[in-house]
Amino acid sequence: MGIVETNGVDYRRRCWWLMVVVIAVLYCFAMLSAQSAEVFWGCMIYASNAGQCNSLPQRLSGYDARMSSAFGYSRFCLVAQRQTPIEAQKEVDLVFSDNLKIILTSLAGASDGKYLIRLLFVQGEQPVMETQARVSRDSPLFIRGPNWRDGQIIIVVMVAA
Amino acid sequence: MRPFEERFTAWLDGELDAEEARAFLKEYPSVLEEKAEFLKLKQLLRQGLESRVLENPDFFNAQIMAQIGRESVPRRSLRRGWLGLPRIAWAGIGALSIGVAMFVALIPHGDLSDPRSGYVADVLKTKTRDPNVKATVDNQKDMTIIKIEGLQKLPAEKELNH
Repeated sequence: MGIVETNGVDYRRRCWWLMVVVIAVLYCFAMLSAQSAEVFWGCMIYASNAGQCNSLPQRLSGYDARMSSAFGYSRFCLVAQRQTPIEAQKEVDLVFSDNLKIILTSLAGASDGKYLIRLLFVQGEQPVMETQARVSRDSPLFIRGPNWRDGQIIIVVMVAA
Repeated sequence: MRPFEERFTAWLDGELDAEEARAFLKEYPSVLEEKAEFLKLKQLLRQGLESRVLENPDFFNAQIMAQIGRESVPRRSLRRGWLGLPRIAWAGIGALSIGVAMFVALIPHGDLSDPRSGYVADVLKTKTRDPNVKATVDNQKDMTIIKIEGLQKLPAEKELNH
């Protein structure tokens, strides 16, 4: 009788420990999923009405119509696409051409899952514009850049998984 | 020639024939005393180990069965308690609830029917270095645009791909 009770207590204790371990593992898994490595992604698009190609990157699928409406162009040609891992306390660059680049000068995570970012738009060697924005993951921020040929350069950046 | 122990046992049990018994006694006269002690011990054992008839056999059996029943109850309840179907079902429901709660609480997501429903891109501040360059923010649905005006036009002959 005593042996049976002792075994029962041990069994229950083991069950509780197992449950705690399972919950801890689930929590860690969820945290890892939630904070999987982010990248700073960007692309340079040539927007025109006479271009030959019409290709948007996968990350901007579904934006064709809205971009046409917002920028007034019907053709969007992907010129360059870059991404770089985000490292804490470190600037990261997305260099699209000799003449254009975006520098992510800082990124801070907010408690609501959003990010506070600071960007620097550089044309040639000159920093042209600095901006601070609050973004969520996979939300593209569009920058209408300089004119080129018969159209315009559009830079799109986002924090992506 | 058989060893002493074998002959002694056979003599005690009366299995030696008369000639062998006489020869054995002649050879080992002290065994007579041992035989007497052995017979005395045998008698005592026979008296002491006589089977006794229980006075209340039904009561005795009932007591034993009750004891067996008491000992088997915790095991059965333990199995039913922790491995029974209802408990497993409740454990499954609990684990599922915890999983759903953790998914909702920890993993950022929006409306699953619309992948763009979680769009957030709020421009808080823009500043241009060149006074001739102007930056304005155009907030549209699921689309935030910073429009930079006054930038130098890129040379048409230049290929942009880096």
